[in-house]
Amino acid sequence: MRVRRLALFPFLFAAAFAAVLAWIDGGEDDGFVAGQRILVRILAAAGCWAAASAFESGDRLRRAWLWLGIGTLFILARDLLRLSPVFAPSPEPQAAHILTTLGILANLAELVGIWRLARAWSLLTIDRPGGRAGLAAVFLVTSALALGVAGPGALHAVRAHDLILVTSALVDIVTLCLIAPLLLTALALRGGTFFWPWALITASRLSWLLYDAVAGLAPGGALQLPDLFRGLAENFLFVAGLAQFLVVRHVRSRARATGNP
Amino acid sequence: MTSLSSPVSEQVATRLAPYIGAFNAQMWIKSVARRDLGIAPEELTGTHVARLLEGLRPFLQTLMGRGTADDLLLQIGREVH
Repeated sequence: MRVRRLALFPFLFAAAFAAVLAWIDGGEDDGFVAGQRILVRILAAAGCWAAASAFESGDRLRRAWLWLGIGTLFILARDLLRLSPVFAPSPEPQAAHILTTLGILANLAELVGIWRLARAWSLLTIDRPGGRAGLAAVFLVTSALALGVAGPGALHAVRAHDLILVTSALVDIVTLCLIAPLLLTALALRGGTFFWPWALITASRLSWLLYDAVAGLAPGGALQLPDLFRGLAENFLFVAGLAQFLVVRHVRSRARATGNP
Repeated sequence: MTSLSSPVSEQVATRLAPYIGAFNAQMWIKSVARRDLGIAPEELTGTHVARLLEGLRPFLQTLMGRGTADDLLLQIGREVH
């Protein structure tokens, strides 16, 4: 089973995206960028549903993947609405409220999904690589990164008295902090096939961290860095879901094959 | 890391390692042996296999789902004595 090859896909996709963007001269074609955004959302949702389908009703990780898939569908709906003249480029207050609400719902569903995955960490890792000091260091570094990247946005939202944006920024901070348990689970499973879904979903969260970093700092140059990192994040979620599906199916088929000589 | 010299613990770890890694496999077996059986992994024998696999069940069910974990544990139970 060559699950590790899936890890190449997000990078190949990002390279192709950057190449096409350069070819069409700095992303002046908004249709291409919007189309790419919708494509990666669809792929991410498909990956989440594939992962969920590997489990049975009531399984802990099935619910986690379903929440991640629901969150992706909310954000996909928002992006599709933005293609309509009613919602873009300068939507009326009511239309803007719908878009923001979809964004918040997506964030909350994603938070539940990541939280459920992260909680599995406490059940799966008995002895953490690196010991207590390593554990504390990973938590401190990821929390500092999360606060450094999403904190300014939260502060700005608080000053603007915008409850929805405050919620969104806080969800961002919490989900970014949850990179630590995902990473530690992946490290504990290293050497096994189940390492891959956890490593790839960690890569997805790290890509969102980079997205937040460049979205907050860069005004959006020719390279379209936020779109590049968004694509990476969604495609890592896509391949993480596929990896989850493949490794569970692999165990099941091998176990059943051994039982039927 | 504790060395697992018992054939039983080695056999189970060998069957789990391709999925969860050698490190985690040994840690899970050590933890279940001590917590549920009150013995070191080196002391595991064929008579402990059923209880060892039962102790591993929650971990595996969390990771790969109940149905798949049950299939894998059945396979290990058949192969390890």
